[in-house]
Amino acid sequence: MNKKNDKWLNDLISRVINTEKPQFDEKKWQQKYPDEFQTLQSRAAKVSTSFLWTSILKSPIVKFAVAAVIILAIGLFMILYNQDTKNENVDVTEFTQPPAKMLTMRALKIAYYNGGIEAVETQCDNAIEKLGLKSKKITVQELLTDIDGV
Amino acid sequence: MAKNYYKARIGIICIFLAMITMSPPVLGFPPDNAAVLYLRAFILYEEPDRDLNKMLDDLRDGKIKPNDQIRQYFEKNRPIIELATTASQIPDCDWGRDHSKGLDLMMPELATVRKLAFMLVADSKVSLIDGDYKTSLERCLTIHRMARHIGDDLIISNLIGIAMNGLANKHIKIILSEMPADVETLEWLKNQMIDISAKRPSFISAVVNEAEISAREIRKERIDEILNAHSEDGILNQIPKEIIEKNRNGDDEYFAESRKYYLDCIASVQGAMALPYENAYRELDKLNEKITKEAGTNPVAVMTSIMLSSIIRPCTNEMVFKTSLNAVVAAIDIYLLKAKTGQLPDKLPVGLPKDLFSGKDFEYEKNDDGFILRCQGKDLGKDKIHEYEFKARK
Repeated sequence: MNKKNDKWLNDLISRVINTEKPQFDEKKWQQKYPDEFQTLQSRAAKVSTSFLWTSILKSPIVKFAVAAVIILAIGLFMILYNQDTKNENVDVTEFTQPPAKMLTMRALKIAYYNGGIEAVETQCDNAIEKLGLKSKKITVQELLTDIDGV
Repeated sequence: MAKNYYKARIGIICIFLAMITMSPPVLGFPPDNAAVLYLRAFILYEEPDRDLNKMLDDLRDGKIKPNDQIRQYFEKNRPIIELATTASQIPDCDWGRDHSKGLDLMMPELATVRKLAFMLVADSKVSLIDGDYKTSLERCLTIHRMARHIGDDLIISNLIGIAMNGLANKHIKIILSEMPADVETLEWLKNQMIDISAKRPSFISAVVNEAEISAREIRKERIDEILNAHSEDGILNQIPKEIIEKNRNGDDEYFAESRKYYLDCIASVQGAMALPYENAYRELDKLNEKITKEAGTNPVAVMTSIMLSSIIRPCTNEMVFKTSLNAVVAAIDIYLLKAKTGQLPDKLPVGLPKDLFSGKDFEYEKNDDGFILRCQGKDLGKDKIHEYEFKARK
């Protein structure tokens, strides 16, 4: 059987056994019961917003989404706050200039031009602080481990 | 038969002696290059922790006396002090600075040698408090000699050397004011100081060495880097943008001209520095004004304006240092007279080192605490007359 035959048969059965859903005609009902229509309409206007929100907030997906947004906002705030605090406390040049570069002829000459011999000395001190002269003590055990190659 | 036997023996001995003389001195110590020992000292050096560092600062400033922790620190670092002392006595020091790197030449040794100098000053203080005056002075002399090793090359390293010399002189003055009259130690110190003064690195050589490096930097490939490095300081702010742009877009011929301008100015600096201080200062000031003015209109002068900026300042630093060294040597002579006669002289003895600002003798003033040596010429850079106060133990 083809689709055309199917449609014809369906319509026929439907009419015979009357299983179709009853159709609500709003206009006819409005004309027949005008007072009830007015009452219903005013109630619907009051309830609709709060009902909508209640329904949305009760949804578990929405609850998860709201929690995620709050956590994300707090996280972002903490990161930005920490960055601001760091920037306030640390000289920007410390990040831009590696310690070895602070001890080039060019860098030292610029320091001297800007602040005389005191500035050169300060530059040396800052560089050495960052380079770190602290020597690491090696134990015999560590040495033997290195020799073994383990 | 016996003759041949002796001949063979003599031959073997000759070969043996030749082998000894020709072989390199593998076991020779100290090495010819002081830098080797300094670098060994840097490797062994252990930075004190924050608290100990603060204590060492206070000790250097005379605020505290050495405690057990400080003494333990110096006991532990004794080999480093010995290495630095030995290194300082070696005539030559080659740090292996790669001049071909131009202005990117690295000089990390400047910072580490200063660290050693601070350690030596603190150790000198410990010896002074213990009454070991000669060791205390020896530490300061080591700093003077290290300054010669560090400053024997470029202007910037020369200046660090000058700062170290100043540190050593400051503490020698303190030791002289506290030590009892001891002719032998004072004679020894005087000879050491004269030797240090005579071997002081030449500032002119530093200017010439630096000029060679700087002249090589004046080329197309380096121009952007140089201009960018100076973008935030005052030199370029005074030069019109179009003049700076002409430098960025210059061709080889332009840079050759720019180098020539720079080297001509260096020759003028050399000429000025051969003059007495006041004349030298005025000549350098005039030259500086000329370069600054010309850089505003002539693009060729811009690189010289950058490279030679504030040349007067290092020249003045050099003069201040040399004069203070002369004042210390002159003061040792005065202390010697006191040690020999029991009292300070009423007049300045003849033949003492001079005030280089005026080229004349220092003015001598006796007071209740000791004496003052005052310059007769003014430091024109700071508009100030330097004076050096020495206290004498009663």
